[in-house]
Amino acid sequence: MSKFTKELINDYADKLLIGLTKEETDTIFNEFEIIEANMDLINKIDGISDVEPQHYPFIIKSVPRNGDKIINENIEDILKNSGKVSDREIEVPKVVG
Amino acid sequence: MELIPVIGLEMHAEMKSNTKVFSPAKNSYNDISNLNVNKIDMAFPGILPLLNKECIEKAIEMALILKCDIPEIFMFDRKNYYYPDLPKGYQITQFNKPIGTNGVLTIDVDGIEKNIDILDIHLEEDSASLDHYSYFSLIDYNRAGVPLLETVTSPCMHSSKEAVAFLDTMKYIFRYTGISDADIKRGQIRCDVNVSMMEKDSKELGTKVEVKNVNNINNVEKTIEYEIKRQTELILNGKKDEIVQETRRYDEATETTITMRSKIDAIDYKYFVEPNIPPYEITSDLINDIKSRISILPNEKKLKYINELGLNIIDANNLIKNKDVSEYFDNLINLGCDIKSSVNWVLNQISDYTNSNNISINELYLTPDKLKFIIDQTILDKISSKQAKELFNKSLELQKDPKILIKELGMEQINDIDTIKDIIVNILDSNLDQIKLYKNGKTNMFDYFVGQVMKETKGKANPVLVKEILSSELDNK
Repeated sequence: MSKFTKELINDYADKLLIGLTKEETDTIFNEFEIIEANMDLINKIDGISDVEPQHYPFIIKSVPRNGDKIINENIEDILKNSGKVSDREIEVPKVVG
Repeated sequence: MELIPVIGLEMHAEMKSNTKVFSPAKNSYNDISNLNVNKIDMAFPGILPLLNKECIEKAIEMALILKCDIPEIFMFDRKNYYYPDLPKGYQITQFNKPIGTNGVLTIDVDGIEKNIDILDIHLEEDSASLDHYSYFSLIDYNRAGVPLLETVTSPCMHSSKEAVAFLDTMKYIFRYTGISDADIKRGQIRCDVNVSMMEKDSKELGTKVEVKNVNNINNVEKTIEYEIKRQTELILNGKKDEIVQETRRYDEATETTITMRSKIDAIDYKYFVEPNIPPYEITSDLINDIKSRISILPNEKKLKYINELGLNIIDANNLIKNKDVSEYFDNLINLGCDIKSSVNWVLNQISDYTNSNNISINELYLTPDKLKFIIDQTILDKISSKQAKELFNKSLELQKDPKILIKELGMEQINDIDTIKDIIVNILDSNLDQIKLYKNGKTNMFDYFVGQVMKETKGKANPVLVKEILSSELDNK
């Protein structure tokens, strides 16, 4: 029995702020069956639970920058691609929450 | 039924650094919108975060001060959510490996020490700020990417007083170390406040309510007081079920808290490791280097004042509240100034003057060496305390060295015995009736004669000598 349900998919869709049609929900639900089957296969590999998650493809370390050098950029240039601009600021629909 | 409040805090402090945590844009408060901006903080396509070493080191410093366990690597995570103030659609924060865990901070609550358990301390970036208008909002990116240090306590506090003492102690540490200016007026300290009520002798915690984004310490106090009252009333009126796990916000206008969202609507932040910032190795050499740079902390200074200088706890607490004030006082003591007088001058005249003129003590014209001159004059009885205050005020008003001003104002005390004696003899010769009254038992006439001498010398005669000579001259009459 799949751990994924259509209700769960719709709940996550809501949290991602995307709406799904009934057909889209069905498609994703069916795809999850395949994904789940593959995950089951992976989980059967010997010693898989002992493997540390690999977040980076190579073993590299950060070299932080010296924080002294200041580079402020011109807001007029930066805002050239913006939709609606008021004076020096981007205008967005009012969202208070 | 006796109920005990259980309080935990999440304190966000904007860090002090030259540039932002992941971009080279300037990190400073600015009234002009979008002045300190960079494509990195505005999430232009293809940008990559550039980690700031200064922020890393200051975060480690604070973790060391809070006696935290420090991991071997510094790494970041993404906290995903959508809001116009977050251009990337995620905040870079620390979730899996915070820079400090299992720490402790000792606070002073009305003279009693209490240990506050620190669950974790982590470095993250601030969001942009939104200016709301009637039908739209404008985005100011000055704050986007400003380094934030978030300190999370365990639910170990039981009153608003303890919470305020914790926040004040943290604020002083931030200011002393220069990790943050902790400027409340500029919103550099913000808190999430968790409050629940627990029955006395019960081991079970009550339902927790989180009040988000409380923007100053006074409001944290009011938030806690309000939540304690609200939750207590509900429990005592048999409405315990109405206390639900939820997120609320503090409303300054009504001084109440208002529901924002319930646990059912809680946001799933889908944390995962930030792939664009590889781990940064925290070596023992780095930790030792940072440890060696930690300056004296307010609590250490307080103990020094009490144990070495003999100050009382109230004066010591008042002096350590402000790093600059404390350093000014230290300078006076290092110059060899009288301890008791220094405390009085710093906490009274100087404090009054700087507060009423809205300036910092570092902007004061009277530097410690100049103030020492005034204090020394009173200690040596060269000027009276009234004259000292006048000299202090005139010096600040005219921005003139008190050493010069004391002569210009003719304030130098008359200590010459013969001069004082001549003045007294003249005054007694012209007040024969008053001498009779004195001789007939009206002893308060003595003060009348002292007053006459002071009037004659414009307050410059040494009062101790005046009394000695006057007494002797009256005896001879």
